[in-house]
Amino acid sequence: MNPRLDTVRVVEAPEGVELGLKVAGPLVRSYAFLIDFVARASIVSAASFVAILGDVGMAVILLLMFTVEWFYPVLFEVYWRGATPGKRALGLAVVRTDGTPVGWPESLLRNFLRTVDMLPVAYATGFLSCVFSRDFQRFGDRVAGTVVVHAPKRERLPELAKAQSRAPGLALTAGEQAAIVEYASRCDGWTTARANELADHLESFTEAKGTEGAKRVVGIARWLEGAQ
Amino acid sequence: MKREPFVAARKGRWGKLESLLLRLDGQRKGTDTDLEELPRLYRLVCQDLALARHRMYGRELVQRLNQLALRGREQLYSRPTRYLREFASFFGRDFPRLVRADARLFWICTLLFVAPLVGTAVLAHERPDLLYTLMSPEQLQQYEEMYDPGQRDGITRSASQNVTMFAFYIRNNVGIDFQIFSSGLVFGIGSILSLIYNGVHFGAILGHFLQIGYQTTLLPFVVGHSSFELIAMVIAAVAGMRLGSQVIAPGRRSRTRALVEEAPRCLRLLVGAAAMTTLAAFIEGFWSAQPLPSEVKYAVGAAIWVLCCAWLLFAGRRDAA
Repeated sequence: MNPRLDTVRVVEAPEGVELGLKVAGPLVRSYAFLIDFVARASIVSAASFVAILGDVGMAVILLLMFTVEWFYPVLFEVYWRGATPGKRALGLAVVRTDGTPVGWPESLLRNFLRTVDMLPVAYATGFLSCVFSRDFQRFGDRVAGTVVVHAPKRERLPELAKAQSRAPGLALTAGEQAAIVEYASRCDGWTTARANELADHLESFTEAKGTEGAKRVVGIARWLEGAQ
Repeated sequence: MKREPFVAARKGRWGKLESLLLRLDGQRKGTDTDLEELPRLYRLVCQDLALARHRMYGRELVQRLNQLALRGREQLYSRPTRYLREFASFFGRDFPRLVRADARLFWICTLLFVAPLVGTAVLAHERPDLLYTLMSPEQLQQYEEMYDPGQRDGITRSASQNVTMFAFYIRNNVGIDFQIFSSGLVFGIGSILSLIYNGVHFGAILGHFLQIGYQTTLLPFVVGHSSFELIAMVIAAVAGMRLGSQVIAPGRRSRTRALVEEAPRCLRLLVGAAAMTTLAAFIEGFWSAQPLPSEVKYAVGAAIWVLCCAWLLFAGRRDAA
């Protein structure tokens, strides 16, 4: 496994194997936050009709607001396998840094410390903490020992780009092989100029530049993956 | 072994784990056979993953096994929650011990609250004009209306109003505890400022009311719940300062490591403080506004103070771990 190639956090399981967690970046997390924000606002406004019950209704609303303000994410994370509705919608989940599920202590810590991550406006502190962290942890995550990951599920991997399969002229290390395969699985989404530019770094290896070089890199990836 | 025979030989057990996980996701408890099967299948898949990765059987297979193993791990290592069972031992023993273990920090925090309170109270009493630099006239007027001895129904409330106020105190005061705690992460500054701010605020009102003679309504009202509420606030600040002190002086650890190691202890302090504040909100909501003679209020209030202090001082001393 080569964690440096991608946003993958490698954890060592006691069963003697390394597992890769795909940590989630600030952008997708902010989308999840927006969904949750709307959900929270709707819960409170939907419940506001109990105000017709007078003082007791008012009490119910106040308690609900308190719960939603502080415990909305906590309850979902503890009882709904690490995800608030927003996170669930985007396929995210909160886990401990070793990949095991979060419990009350971790969830309470990471969510109470939101108050710090929110400072001074719009989660600026949390964003900076995320960007300067290898695993995109905001301060709450760091203290609680948690990470937000793309929840593990069966997923189809992106297809490799099309090219004639060809053997590499050298023995490649595992990391090099992984880099080449990643290239071939992603290059269809880039502009040709960008794909060629990246492939040009391997000119001494593929002995070609430009489109032909890019094609050869993809060909080697297909050979490595055993594809035709 | 080539990739195809490897997959063919092991496909069965991967499928079994997959369907077992799908089944367990939906329910709280598995059957006895599930409990035997899950660890076994999970370990086998971990082996297969290690082999597939080592032999470079390709991205597709490695990724699939990785995700399967992660899900197995999540299911196998989810811990049962038995917080209710720990309730009695936490409040009867562990929490008072935690507070006593941080006695020095506790007294520092108390001083940070009491000193501004007394200082401002004296100042507001001696120099009433200075009061308006601390709060707006409207705010002050609101407080005066609430505790005006002339119209006693300011503090006596109907039963349903009690419920509303109880909810209000919970939201407000427990929320303040949480804020005092979390803002402590910033080098403890947030907790310190909150303590001073609250001290100044209460001090100003106290001094002002003593000066205009409203203490006859204010003091009987607050004496009942003040013990748990104020001590809980100080404890929340202790928790926050402890957190902040890990950032300032992590010792021979990285700051992150120090925080991760200390945070659970800080959280336990906070949870205890929040429970105390909830109890205070209960007293404040349902007792403090009862239309009873001041002597009764003072007696009960003093009893609650003694009870609260005795609990924190003595609970859990005997069977020391």
